[in-house]
Amino acid sequence: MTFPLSLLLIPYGFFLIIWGFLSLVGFYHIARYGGRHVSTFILGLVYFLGCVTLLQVSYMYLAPIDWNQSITIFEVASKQTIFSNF
Amino acid sequence: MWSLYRLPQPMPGEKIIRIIHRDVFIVFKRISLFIILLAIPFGLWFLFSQIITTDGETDWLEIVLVLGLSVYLLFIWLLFFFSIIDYLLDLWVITDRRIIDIRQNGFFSRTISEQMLSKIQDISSDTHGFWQTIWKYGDLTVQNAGEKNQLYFEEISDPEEVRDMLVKIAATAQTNAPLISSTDSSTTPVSDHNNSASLSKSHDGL
Repeated sequence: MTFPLSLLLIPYGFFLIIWGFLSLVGFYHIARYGGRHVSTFILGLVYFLGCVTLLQVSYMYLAPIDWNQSITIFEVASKQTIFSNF
Repeated sequence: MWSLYRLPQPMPGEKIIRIIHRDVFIVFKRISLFIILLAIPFGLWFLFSQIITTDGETDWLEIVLVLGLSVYLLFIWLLFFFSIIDYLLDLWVITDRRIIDIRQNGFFSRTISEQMLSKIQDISSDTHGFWQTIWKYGDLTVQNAGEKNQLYFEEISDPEEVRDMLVKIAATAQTNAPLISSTDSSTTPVSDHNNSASLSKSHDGL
């Protein structure tokens, strides 16, 4: 079975959308209920910096990959290949 | 973090006596769990890297692993963020009139409940287990008179000391309750045990 490598980016992108939404929900909670307290500000800042680092490292590893190439898994042997062995 | 003007439905002349969070040991526990979860994929990565180098046609598997690792790390980072939010936003506010229990439950649930000090019938503290005994933290249960509902102070620091303090201020509040009720119509009299206004709950979607 052959499919383009870029297909793997679809579930990854889907995850990033949900993850981004939940992160915004977290920021909403600390902004609305945490008040202007230093601990909530530091928490928000640390989380934001952690996110930037993780996304940057992910990009660093994923950017050089050629996403246009196809990958083959579960390669099925044809009749010709099977009989050529005899 | 909290001031009187942000109390839910503040009463005239109401004073905050104490704001209680879970014990700081809970934060250490959550950080330790986060570090363990952080270490797991790197161990697995090392294991998989040994397998991948022996097979020349597993480049796509390496890409899947990079994507999986990215998803995993972002996910546990988000969970860690919410566990600290949960710690910061879970609090119990003790005023001279009532106890307010504020809970942040996960991503989309927030519960606020309160109990009048004049209605308190029983207060019990519970410290059990090795870590709770060593770190002096535990639970506290406040039982309301005439109501089945209870307030739980979970994993708070020094529950015995908080219980003693609550017993004292509840006794004072119960002594002053008829006086307060005659001057302030929003406060429930002690004798009216079936009045549901003494314990109210609200849920916020976000």
